[in-house]
Amino acid sequence: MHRSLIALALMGVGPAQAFELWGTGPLAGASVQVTHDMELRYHTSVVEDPGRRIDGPFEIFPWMDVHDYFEQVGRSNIQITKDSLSIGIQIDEVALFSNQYVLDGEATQTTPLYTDAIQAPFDDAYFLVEKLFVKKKWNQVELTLGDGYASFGRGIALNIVKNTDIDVDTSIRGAKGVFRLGDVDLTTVTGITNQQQISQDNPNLAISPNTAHMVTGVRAEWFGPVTLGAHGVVYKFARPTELALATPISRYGSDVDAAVYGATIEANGVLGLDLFAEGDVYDYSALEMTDGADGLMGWAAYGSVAAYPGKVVMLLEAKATKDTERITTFSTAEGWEPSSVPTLEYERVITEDGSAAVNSNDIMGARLRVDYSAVPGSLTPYVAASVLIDNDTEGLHFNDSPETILHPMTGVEYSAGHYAVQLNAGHRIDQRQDAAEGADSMSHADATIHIPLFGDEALEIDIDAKQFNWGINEQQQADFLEMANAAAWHHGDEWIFVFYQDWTDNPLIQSEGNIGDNLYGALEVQHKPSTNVTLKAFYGAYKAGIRCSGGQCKSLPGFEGGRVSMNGVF
Amino acid sequence: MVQFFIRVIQAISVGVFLAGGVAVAGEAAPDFTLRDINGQQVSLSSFKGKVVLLNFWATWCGPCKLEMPHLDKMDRELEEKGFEVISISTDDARASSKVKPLVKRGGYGFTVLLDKETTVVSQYNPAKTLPYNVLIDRTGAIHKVFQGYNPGDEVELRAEVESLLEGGE
Repeated sequence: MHRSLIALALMGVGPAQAFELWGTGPLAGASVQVTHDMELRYHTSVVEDPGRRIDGPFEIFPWMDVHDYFEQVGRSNIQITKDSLSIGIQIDEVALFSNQYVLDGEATQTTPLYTDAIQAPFDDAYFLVEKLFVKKKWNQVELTLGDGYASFGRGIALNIVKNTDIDVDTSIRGAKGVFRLGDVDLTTVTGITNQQQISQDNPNLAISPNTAHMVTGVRAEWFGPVTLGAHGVVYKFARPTELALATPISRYGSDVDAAVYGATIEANGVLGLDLFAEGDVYDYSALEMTDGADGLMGWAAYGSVAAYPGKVVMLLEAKATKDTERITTFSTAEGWEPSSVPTLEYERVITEDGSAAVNSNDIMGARLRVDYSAVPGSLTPYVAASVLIDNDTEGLHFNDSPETILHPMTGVEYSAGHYAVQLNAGHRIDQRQDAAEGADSMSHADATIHIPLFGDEALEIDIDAKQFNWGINEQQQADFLEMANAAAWHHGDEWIFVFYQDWTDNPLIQSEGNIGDNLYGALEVQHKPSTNVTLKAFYGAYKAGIRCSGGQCKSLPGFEGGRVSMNGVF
Repeated sequence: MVQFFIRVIQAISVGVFLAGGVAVAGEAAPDFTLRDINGQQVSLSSFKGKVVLLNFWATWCGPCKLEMPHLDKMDRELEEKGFEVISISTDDARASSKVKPLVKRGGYGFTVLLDKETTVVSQYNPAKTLPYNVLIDRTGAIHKVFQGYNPGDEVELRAEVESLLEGGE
């Protein structure tokens, strides 16, 4: 069935309103900052179904099919600041227009906006207070009540942070305190997880209630000649069968599902080296995490060494992990992770196969990157290489035997005046230990080149390509080529004309090209009337694919259609 | 009724958006305390009396890295006039080890803070678009924000900074 999606988008962003609260109360004179995002999309039908449109205001669009509908999403942030006190609230809303049709005499929704578990007064609209916090800062104490974020060490034990790159914004709704006691920082956090429910970038379909998991952690750090840290986090996860928000406080009264304990040491400038090391132990209790056993232990170790001899900058990272990904058992289906180990991967080229290594339960390896600062801030070539041994063959892995991953890379960054080049290229081999299974391999290159032409004119070329060749595996996929290229003409500071071209014949990707089955094209005009406003008009398509950020990967849908957007900060 | 509600939401959204178009900056910049790349504690409030540029960036952000040499140049050349660049890495904790090597290879002299928990960027820039610059005047009020970077954008940014240093609005 042919699927097409046409979207019209209007979006505004901005810490906009600046005014002071009146009165004589404790917040008198406080400043108020308002930020608002808005987007409007138009979806064409993916359903060939009888029925007729409901008479209404959308009759003025005779080209609309029965199941076409509009989707409007909005996100408003209001922050009140007075001295060291901040109060913030974020309200998210989504509304569907023309989402109902008549079939056999009954009005029916084309797209259910939310599941039956959500109580809302309107069928095609939903809004909620997504984030709410009060933060007070004293000299040595910072206290946050409501929604906040927390990360311990290198994120191995706890890493619940905002990750809007992949449309993930889970917070901890509870209390967080940071106590700065001389050379010692003490951080405590406790609360239930508050997952972003209304997607700002992707279609909202069958929104489910927030699944409230309990997280409680404490971390102490001593900042002396070296920095020493110790932390512990306990988790109690909600089961899918539980009604979300029904009794989230009860999570505190039951046995924990998992606990993670760890320690860190960091030393800067020791014999010219910056050193960091962390070790963590995972103690799983939940049967879902232990494969039915009474208990199961996992562990992780991570370390890095940076050196700066002359014009050379070297960074060596190494890690070894066992059964660390079990901590994501309950949150993976919700599209986020409470913690994970640094990946050592070049995230821009992670494929379906590569993401298995990112989420491996048994992996060890190292990555070395050497930069040569030929002209500081202007010309920096580099080489890098990673070696990983992935012993996990379960889960998303496409191999039946452990594999050794080799990934050499090179690149350069150059900028002078308005010239700029950023280039990265590499080749990755996943060699299975069972030689009969062969090896996966991938060659990749990406580049951004900005060239001033004449007057205020400039040309920017973006190239991103990877060729992936599978070894032997049960699923036996086809080899594929993926590209995401663009050419942009900059007309002064205010106008940019962009042509996008994507290509993929990856059979695992669920999207179709608008020019050919595998070829996608799009045009975009960008107008920047001032430093804080960007207007965009887009028409065409781009491919679906995996996007990774901060060690977390997410499959994002493709897009086909038109879009007009505005992004401004006033 | 449903259509009416939807229209109300739409009207409110458009209304808030349009209202934003006529507002100006000037709100107090929320104070914060973060650790720098050497483990030292740094608070925004300690820079009061200076013109401050908060620069939010990340190691994976290409335009951010292109902008940094220009910010470093401004920081060095305008420091004596009371200008300070505070560069805030929004990198996830898992990428923290990459931050200092990137700063060292560029030879940057400005202050670099680590916002590993995304608490500060969430207050200043909820959409977390990068790079993102917040220009703060000597009184501690937000003067102007700048989203994104294309080569050449630094010219207007510098003009704005110099105007503030000279006491302009």
